[in-house]
Amino acid sequence: MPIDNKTFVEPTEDGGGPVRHHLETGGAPLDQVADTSGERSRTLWGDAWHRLMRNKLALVALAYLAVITLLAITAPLWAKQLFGDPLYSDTTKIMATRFLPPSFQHPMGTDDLGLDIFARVIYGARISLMVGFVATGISVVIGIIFGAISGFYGGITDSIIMRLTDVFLAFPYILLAILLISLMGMGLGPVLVAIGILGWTTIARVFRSSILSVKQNDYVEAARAMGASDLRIMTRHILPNALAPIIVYATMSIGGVILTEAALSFLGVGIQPPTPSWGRMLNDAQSYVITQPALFIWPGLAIILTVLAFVLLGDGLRDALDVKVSE
Amino acid sequence: MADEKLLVVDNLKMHFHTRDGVVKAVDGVSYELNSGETLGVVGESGSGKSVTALTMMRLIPMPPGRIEGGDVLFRGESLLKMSDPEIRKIRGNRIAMVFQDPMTSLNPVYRVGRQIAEPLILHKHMKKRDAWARAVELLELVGIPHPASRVNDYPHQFSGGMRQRVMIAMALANDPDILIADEPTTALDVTIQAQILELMEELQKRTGAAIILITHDLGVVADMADNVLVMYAGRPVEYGNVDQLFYRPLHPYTWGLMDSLPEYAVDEKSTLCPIKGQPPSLINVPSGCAFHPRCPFAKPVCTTDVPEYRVFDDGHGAACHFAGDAGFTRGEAATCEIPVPTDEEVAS
Repeated sequence: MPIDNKTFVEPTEDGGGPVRHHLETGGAPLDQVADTSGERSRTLWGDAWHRLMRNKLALVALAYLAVITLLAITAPLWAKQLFGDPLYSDTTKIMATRFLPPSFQHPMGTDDLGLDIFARVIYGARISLMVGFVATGISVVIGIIFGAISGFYGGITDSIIMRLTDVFLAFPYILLAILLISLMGMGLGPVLVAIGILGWTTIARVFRSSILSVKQNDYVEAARAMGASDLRIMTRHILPNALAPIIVYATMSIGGVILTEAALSFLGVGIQPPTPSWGRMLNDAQSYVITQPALFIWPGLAIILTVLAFVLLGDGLRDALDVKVSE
Repeated sequence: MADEKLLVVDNLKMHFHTRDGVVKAVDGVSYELNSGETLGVVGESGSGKSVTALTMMRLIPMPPGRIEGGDVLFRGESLLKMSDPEIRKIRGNRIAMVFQDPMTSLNPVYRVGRQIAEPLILHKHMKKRDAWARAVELLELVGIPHPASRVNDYPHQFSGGMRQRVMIAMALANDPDILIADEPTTALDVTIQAQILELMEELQKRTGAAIILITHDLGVVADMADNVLVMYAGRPVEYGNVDQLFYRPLHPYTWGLMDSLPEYAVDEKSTLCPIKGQPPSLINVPSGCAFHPRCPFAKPVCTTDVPEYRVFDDGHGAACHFAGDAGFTRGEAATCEIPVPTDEEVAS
């Protein structure tokens, strides 16, 4: 006998006497129909956002990143008009325009080629942020796939993948990156691919352990008892719950990736001139460290602040996404 | 074949092969279940109550688990021999399960409506909209106030009792033939327990589903069950209908369980009388009758021969060498080693 959908039920936990429910009114008690539009509950992500917004440090980091990202994206629209071409200098006037002190025209002064340092730092942000996001994106995609397979199936598959990550981790990171880049030829593309390919191992490990702990949860067993297939359990029940550590780790590792790109460019194997990148600018500043400190202070500061911002944001996200500390 | 039994468990054996040895979690369990019936399965922790149910649903990972024998027939078809897609069509559809801890059995990232809709989308291939509407109906059915707005809430916005109602709504979504409730009230307050059990009884009357109620609470069993299976160390020790079991229990273990109940020790002269010792390790099950080290009536034969399960009057059976013997009854036998202090002793 099927369940009779039209039956009235008395709610037992809200105390008041029998309340009539009816389906035509959407199942709400008849005397409270007007109330049912009430506020829709905040989503889980909404809650996390709310908690993140209460973390002052993370908020400052987020604001800084938002500003620098906006400046970087819009730079081609205004940088050249306001501060002069940041890529190519007018060699005829170079003696008059080089090493200028900070002024309204050049907020951070000019470099050895008479180029505006502020404009070059902003153009450097374009490269650094792009490398940070894209290379981390590549790492996350590869890492999630391998980590998911490893954590979900376990056994021999798990062993093989984990040994593979061991092999990757056993090599010095920068050396392997230089090797890959020299195989592919220098430039932005190879840097993205090299950093992306080398970064997946830690993501895979973090995601694997996250899945292993989520797998133990009763609701995974309950989903199986409900008749859900492996794929459905994986994508609908385990993945969303295992994602938080990845979001945190990925955010923090964007900072690390920016640092790696700076290191590679500083060593001369990363981004090639005339494209300004922070690491490249540090490299160019080497000859003027004593006489013109502005040349390395500004790009150095940009690297420090940006990396710090991503780490602080990651830290804030960790607290915000941790359901256990929710109020 | 209309006269086929709804569910027949026949001499089911599920063993776990671990590094320390073979754990005989379920070792020869048999029972039958008809539509509309409630079977109570009782026993201590580790007696194989839950494993029996999980084995039936094929939810035990294999390895380490291995079915060493027996079969489970659902409407004449073997659940154990089904392919994975076939058993998935049974799970959550014909046989549904309610788990012990409602606080952890709901996925925290989805609205409850979505979770109730999931079995409908999986098995009935309903459209999301229709499944959502049905979820509202089901929430109403299990007595959740304001179901139309509550479907949009997340599990953490529900209390424990309310979550268990949601779990029951999920389990009943597809009108299952059998509802397995694995200690459904253990994690709840006593007052909420009564409400949940009442709800299950009421829904059973309405849907005609059979219920397998796994519990260690004899009070719950006395209330709800038609038949009772008492398990010890993976084996059935006694089976009978509620009246037989509670008024004429045959097995010393069943007596022990009843003597451990506070309700049966209301007389101020008697003390609570727990069963001595611990449940045995399932790797080294005691020889003979598994209960003999804790049994106050153990005789030499109990340590050597495994007692056969024998049926006495009208389906009531027990696995004890002396069950049914004249004079071997609970009333005379229930002796507690803890001395009862006299009034003078208490006063001084």
